[in-house]
Amino acid sequence: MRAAWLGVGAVLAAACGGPVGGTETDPGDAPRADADWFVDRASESGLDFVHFNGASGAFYYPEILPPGVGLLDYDNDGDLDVYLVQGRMLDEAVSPSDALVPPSGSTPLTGRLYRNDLQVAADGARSLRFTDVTAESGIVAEGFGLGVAAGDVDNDGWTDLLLTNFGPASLYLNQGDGTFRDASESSGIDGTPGFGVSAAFVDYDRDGLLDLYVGHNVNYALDNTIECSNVTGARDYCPPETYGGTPDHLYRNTGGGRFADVRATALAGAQFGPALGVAVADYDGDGWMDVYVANDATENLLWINQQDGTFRDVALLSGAALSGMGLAEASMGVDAGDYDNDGDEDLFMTHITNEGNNLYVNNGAASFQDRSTVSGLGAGSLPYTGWGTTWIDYDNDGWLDLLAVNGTVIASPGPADRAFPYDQRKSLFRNLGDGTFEDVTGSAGAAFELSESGRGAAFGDIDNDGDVDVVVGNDTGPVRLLINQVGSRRHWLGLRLVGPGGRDMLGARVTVRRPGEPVLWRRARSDGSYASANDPRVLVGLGESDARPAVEVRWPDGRTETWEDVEIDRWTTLEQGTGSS
Amino acid sequence: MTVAGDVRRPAPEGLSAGNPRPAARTPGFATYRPGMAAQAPELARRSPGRAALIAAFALALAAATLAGCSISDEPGPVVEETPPPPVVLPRLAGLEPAVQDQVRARHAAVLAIEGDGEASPATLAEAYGELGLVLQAAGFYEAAEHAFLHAQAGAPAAVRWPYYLAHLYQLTGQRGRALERFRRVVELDPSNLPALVWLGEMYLDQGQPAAAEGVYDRALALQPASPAVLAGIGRAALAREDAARAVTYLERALAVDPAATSLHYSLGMAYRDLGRLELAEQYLRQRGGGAPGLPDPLLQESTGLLDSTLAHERRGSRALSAGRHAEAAEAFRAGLALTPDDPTLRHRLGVALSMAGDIRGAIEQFEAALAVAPDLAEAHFSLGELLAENGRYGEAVARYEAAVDIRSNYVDARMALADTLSLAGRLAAAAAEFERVVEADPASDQAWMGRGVALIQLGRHREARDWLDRAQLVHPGHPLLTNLLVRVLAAAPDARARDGERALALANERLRGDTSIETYESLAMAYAEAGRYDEAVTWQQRAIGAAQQAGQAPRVRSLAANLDRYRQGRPSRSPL
Repeated sequence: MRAAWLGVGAVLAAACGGPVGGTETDPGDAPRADADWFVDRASESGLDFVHFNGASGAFYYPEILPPGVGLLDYDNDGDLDVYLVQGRMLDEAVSPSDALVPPSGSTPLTGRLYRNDLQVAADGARSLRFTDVTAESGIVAEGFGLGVAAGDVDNDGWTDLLLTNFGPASLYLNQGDGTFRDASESSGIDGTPGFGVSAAFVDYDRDGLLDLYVGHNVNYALDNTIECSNVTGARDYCPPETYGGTPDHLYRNTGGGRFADVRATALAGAQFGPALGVAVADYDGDGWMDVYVANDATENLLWINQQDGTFRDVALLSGAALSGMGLAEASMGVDAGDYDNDGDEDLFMTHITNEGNNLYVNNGAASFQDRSTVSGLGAGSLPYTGWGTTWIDYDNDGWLDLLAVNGTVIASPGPADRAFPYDQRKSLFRNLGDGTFEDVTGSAGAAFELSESGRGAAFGDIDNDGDVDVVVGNDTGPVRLLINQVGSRRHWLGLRLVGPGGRDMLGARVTVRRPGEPVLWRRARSDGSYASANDPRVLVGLGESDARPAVEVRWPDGRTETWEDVEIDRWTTLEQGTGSS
Repeated sequence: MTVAGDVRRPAPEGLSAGNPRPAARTPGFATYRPGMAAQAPELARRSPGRAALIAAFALALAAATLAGCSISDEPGPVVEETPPPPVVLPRLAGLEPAVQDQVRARHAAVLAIEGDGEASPATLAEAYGELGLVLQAAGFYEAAEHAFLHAQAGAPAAVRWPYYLAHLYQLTGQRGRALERFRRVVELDPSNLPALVWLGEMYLDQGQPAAAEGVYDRALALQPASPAVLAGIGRAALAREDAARAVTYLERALAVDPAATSLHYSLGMAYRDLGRLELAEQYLRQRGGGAPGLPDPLLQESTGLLDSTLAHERRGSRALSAGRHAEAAEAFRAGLALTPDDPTLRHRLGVALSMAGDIRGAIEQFEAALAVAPDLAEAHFSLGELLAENGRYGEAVARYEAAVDIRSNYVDARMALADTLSLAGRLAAAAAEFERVVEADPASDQAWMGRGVALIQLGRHREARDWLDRAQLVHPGHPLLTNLLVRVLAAAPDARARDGERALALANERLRGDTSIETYESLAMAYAEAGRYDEAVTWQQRAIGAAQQAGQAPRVRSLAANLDRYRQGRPSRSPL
């Protein structure tokens, strides 16, 4: 258990420009407040991207949802590159220059790939520089982009990209030479019309190939746009109930770059809702990956893997479908992680304003208790509409904290010149280690006080310094690169878990054992958050302990290996088959 | 006709599946009920004004942000600002004229009293409070807060103003402040049951179930049979992971107020925690949105404050959902008096009238709505429903087609179109429409069923078999779909569609234990096709017995015909 550092009141006062301090009791236990914990370095590092949603005043439903962002090491040079989702005019009769917010960033209006040209000096000083390599990458994402998923679908050791769109999804296969090949048609992915938002790669049948779950949103077409209005009587975006949900899709990787849509056989018996977030994890601890789907305004789904190629939705009885009051909420982003260090995957999801975010605590068998209020997370998030989120141990103390990116879906009043008034600040909650959280947003830095239309957020160690950084996608706004300034002050363990072909083994579970310290469990993943792809590596905060841990890895195929005395405070690659069985 | 639409079955969240104005604009905390504090917007969402609170809150939040973060939610004792901030009348341009008039009138009343040197502080406080109420109802929360603060300062012993302030804070996500105000109300009036219940809610929201239970215990001493109080104790116990105590109190609450269907979910979770999964699932299946009742005169007083189209619309919609059709019609008419050309409101009036039995009046309203807005798909759909109910299938089909032409993803209308085409004997067209429904909504078992039946009626038995096989993948073990597949496999005239062994295996695997007439008959068909006529006769006799018991004489006759066939060693060749 950690002592409270700042009282909530003081934090809020700080957020509003008031004095900080007052109740500091244990300054050594948390990052110092004399410097920003996160600093936005997007512009100075060359991430000059500005999202464009094509809003023209017609209030097309998809405009309010993007963009997702992706982190992936596409060139296998050891650092994370960035893929940014772009929109376009949905009404093709209207010129982009006539949009409510005309495009102001990179052109042409396509999704963009930025290569990370990170330089690390001999003294450890880091220089971040991103180069827009979209043109030479072969990625031509001209659709109305929504989200990103990343994974090596053909086991060649090079990470591929799945892009969700308003319309069919696109699959780009990494050819290992800095270019991608559009395999949307040959893979069978683009045969599915619809409105996918979040997607996750997962080897659900343990055959060594990454399968794909795509959460689909509403049953919507441009010519079906309905006029909705908000409290002021002004035209605004409709709620999801207006259009209703559409079924999600599960694609089984059949090898050879082909996918088969197995939804009908594998996902039977559930009422699909307007999906926004997807988080895959082994929720019931049976060694097989399950899928949790955050739906907007309808019951969420928890697909438990039946180990026979099918799933069964048990969300309702599991306690993870509805709020503690039994009501469906507007779930947006979602992430799974072991926040209480008890060895199972707990769920956190972001919601619309005045619902409050939810914490569902797992008992190890996929039975959840809603701990939103007692944890302090519910009340602290009431004013916000949350999207991208993750369990992030930002201060590397061994307890997973929470970061949420916010932005409204209903216009808020303000100066008349705000053409896209859906902005809010971000949130950061610190895990106190006793089941409760403290809102530390006010100490996180100026980047957290910026009011923007936050949507996607991808998390990973972008400067390879041993703490988790964040890329934030803003609807109709500039991308933000929030570099963590404080995590690497503590010890950490960085692991890349790869299979024999060099593939990042998404779903691999890591157990970290140190003498005299609690056991920690983490998972290699790129899913979670909202419409985004995260760092597939595992970064474990070790706190003040400098002991070299023993690391046990349970691979997605169920086999387990152990490595003793793994070096800390550096990144280490563990390859399947090289540990002790 | 198997599908109800706007006219017969208003959806809980609105009047139609495709409410063209789902985001109504009139907020009001009076819609909340204790026991739902944490989910207040969700309640709003269930009404036609689902987004109003959220939107209004966003407004308030943004305004507060602009004003320098005045929406901080610092816990601690109530410290009144002295004097309260002035009430700045917000820009009213976006509001309906009637509402603008209301706000201006109440503001003018305050100014007049302030200008009257002889007016008592209590009179001024009352005027401020009334202004606060209308400002809050219109969604101007910051101005409303200031007005309530003035009211409270002028009448510090009055319960109303801290009570409304508490609700305002609760509504805007400032639960710490709300808690303090409810606490103040309870200090002023220790026997104020609604305030005690809300205070308990706030404690629960703050993650303090023990404190909540303490408050509820005080409330219980005042009213031992209050469902809201009993439910509160149950929920507090659940939050403290005392599932047994939770069950005791939640069951008691439900016994007192069976309409409090939201308690089924809490009970389901409590029984799950006790390991009684069957009971848990039973409760979860029954879950609903009804909150435990609690008479709350102050909240009631603030209901219906606004004289606006949307306020009337919301009241009407609430009444309609609660089955109070005449009251609903009255509210919609009041709204139309302000905005006669509002097609949505007129459509809703038509729905209310039709549900009250005034079909002629309903048709007039639907047609009037379409005269103003020819593309109002819901009005076409509702007219189609009335026409279909009266057997005017051709006209109904035209209306449904108009609805889906306007909105191709209008699933309810497409389903009704398919059904009506089927009833009109246009089976091929019906089959095609059912398939479109399934494409849009694979969970629609009725559409799977509808196309299966249509294909059988068209004599396309192999297609029917393949279709029903696909249905099994999406709805495995669905009794009606399984029955239909068994029948095609057992009794299709087309030998290429039949597979007696599979029919029997499927029937025995998936239908055993089902005691419906249909299943008995399907089993008989399957046994007959397998050449096991004695068993076929036995099952057919069971079917006949069940039909007799149900008083279905025509059914008995048709079943008897097949019974004769089986006795003669001949299988059925009529799947339906």
